Amino acid sequence: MQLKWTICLYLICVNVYAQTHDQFIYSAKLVEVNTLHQHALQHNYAWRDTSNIITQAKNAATQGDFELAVQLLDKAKQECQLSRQQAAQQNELVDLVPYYLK
Amino acid sequence: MRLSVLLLSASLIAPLLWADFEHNAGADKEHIQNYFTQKFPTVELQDFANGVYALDPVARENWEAIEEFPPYEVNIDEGEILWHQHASIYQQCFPGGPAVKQHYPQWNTELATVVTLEMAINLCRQQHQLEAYDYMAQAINNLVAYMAYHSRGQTIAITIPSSQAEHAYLAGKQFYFTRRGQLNFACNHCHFDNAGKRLRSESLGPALGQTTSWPTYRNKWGELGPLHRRYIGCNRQVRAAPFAVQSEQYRNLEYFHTHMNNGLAINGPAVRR
Repeated sequence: MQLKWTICLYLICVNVYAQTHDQFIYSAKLVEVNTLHQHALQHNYAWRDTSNIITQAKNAATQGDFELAVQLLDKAKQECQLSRQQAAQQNELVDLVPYYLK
Repeated sequence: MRLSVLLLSASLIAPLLWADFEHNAGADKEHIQNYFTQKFPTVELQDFANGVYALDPVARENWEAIEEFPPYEVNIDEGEILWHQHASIYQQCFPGGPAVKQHYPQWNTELATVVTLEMAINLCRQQHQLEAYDYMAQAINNLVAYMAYHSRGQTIAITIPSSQAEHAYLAGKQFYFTRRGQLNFACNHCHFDNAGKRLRSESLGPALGQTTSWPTYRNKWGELGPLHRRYIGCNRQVRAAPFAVQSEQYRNLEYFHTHMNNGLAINGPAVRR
């Protein structure tokens, strides 16, 4: 009888731990991605779908699906990083005007 | 004596400096117009104002048929009513109006920014204690359509009067040639390099002449809309986050985009696909 209760308590603890762990990862990622996205918006290099992906991640988290939310945030983070690379690459090109206008 | 020498030298240098601002942008305009006239040798320079219809004879036939009974006529009529509601105010703000579209966008020294015709209308209204229009509302499009209609045939004459204005022009130019969005496209990839080619069922219009026909009745929209709405559409198509209508980025872009059309005639409002 005591063993049954111990196993049951253990399972509850594991479940709660897993959920809070996912939630913790989600919250940390959301802050990071939001910061990256705000920078992209302020410096005019944001991509079209990043905001939507972040919103979808928030919706998934509201429904308790933190695994999907984290996946979506990873995707949004990748978009932010790629758009930043794109902007940096464009800024490095001193003369963006193509040859036919020189 | 010293003062007179200073004044004399300043008066000699000032026109040279002014000419230099015009010189760089003027050279761009020459390069761009030469590029398109060489790329499409059978198209007259003035015909570029008709956009893609200058290049695609089948689409042109269709467009000319629509222009016989244009869907924007109602907008011009409504714009006329709006103009006459406050005609004296608008006449003060736009001397020689309503035919002033060819001078916009222009550099405003007081505000130190590029002012489009839509923005100038709203500034005028606010100066006279009238409520500013929403830039996406039909009212301002109707008013601009009426002004554009009266400006038809007038030659576009955008000037760059100062170094600050040139800075705005260059910002617009940089925007035009900068790759953006997930598809990594700049404006010139479609409207310079691939102008006249097909993109699915549509032909890509040349950059030259694109600003002469606004506001435009787009079949896709089913209503008259401003140029900045089209900029938003373009940015979305390359999957870049668009800017707001009348944002500084789009006003600078319009400044550059319109300056290259100096010498072409206004033919707005018009119908486009």
